[in-house]
Amino acid sequence: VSGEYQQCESVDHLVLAGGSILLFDDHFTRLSPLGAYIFMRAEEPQTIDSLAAALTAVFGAPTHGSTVEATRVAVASLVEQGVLQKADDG
Amino acid sequence: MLAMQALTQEVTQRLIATQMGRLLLLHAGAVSHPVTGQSLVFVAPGGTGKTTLGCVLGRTYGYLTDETVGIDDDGRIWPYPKPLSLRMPGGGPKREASPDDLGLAGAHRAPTVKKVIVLSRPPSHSGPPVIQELDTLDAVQQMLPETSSLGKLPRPLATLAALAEQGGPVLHCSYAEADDLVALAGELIGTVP
Repeated sequence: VSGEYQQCESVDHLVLAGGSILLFDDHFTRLSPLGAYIFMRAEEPQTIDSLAAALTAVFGAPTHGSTVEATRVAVASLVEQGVLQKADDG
Repeated sequence: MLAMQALTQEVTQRLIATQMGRLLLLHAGAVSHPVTGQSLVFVAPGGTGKTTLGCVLGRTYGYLTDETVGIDDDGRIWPYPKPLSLRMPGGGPKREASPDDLGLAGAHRAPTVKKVIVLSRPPSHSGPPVIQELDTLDAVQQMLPETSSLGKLPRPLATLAALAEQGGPVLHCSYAEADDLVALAGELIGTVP
């Protein structure tokens, strides 16, 4: 997981207390507040470092490990779910 | 009889195609109170007992459909009282039966959504139904797989969320037998004298 990441094109996004749901043409996925925040930030291409800094500002640092590593794991999961893509894949 | 079933399915598919982007379409059954029109929508995947429940509740409440519920922006249900595909004892092809032949009550002229329940019928379930209130996000998540062409609506997820919040929380209901849900229907949309 390196480079910049941005949103995959979605049909709709529902944000409520406790999380959000993203609807795509062929699937949907439910996101935690943290995942929803990453998705929102990734409207414009974001590096792992820029996302990590933004997440730390909003959610605080993780209790274990580095913020950058935690962000890397979260982004990898969102890529796997079809929520984010490499900026140059779009 | 297979031809009848195929015809029913063809009509259903064409109905769905016609209403894409106009109505919120759910894989669900529904019945309406004959006086008030307040309706119970039971959302469920295939094989979860929508048809059986439609037969049981439809003896008392107006039968709206056992397969596809179309709901407009005002919460009004557009009835689709299709023939019901009944499983035959011992297996084999299903039998198509008209709502009239089954003695089902006619639909109210202006049925509206009063309550939505999401059904599950796990083989391990026994005893009375187990009811659980769903918050809006959980309700939307559980109803989403049972929608048709949701993305064609102007605000698909907001529309589904509005349905989830209409008439209080959506209920998840795990049950074993359709007869066990008659009392629940009375609590949710009113009993019929």
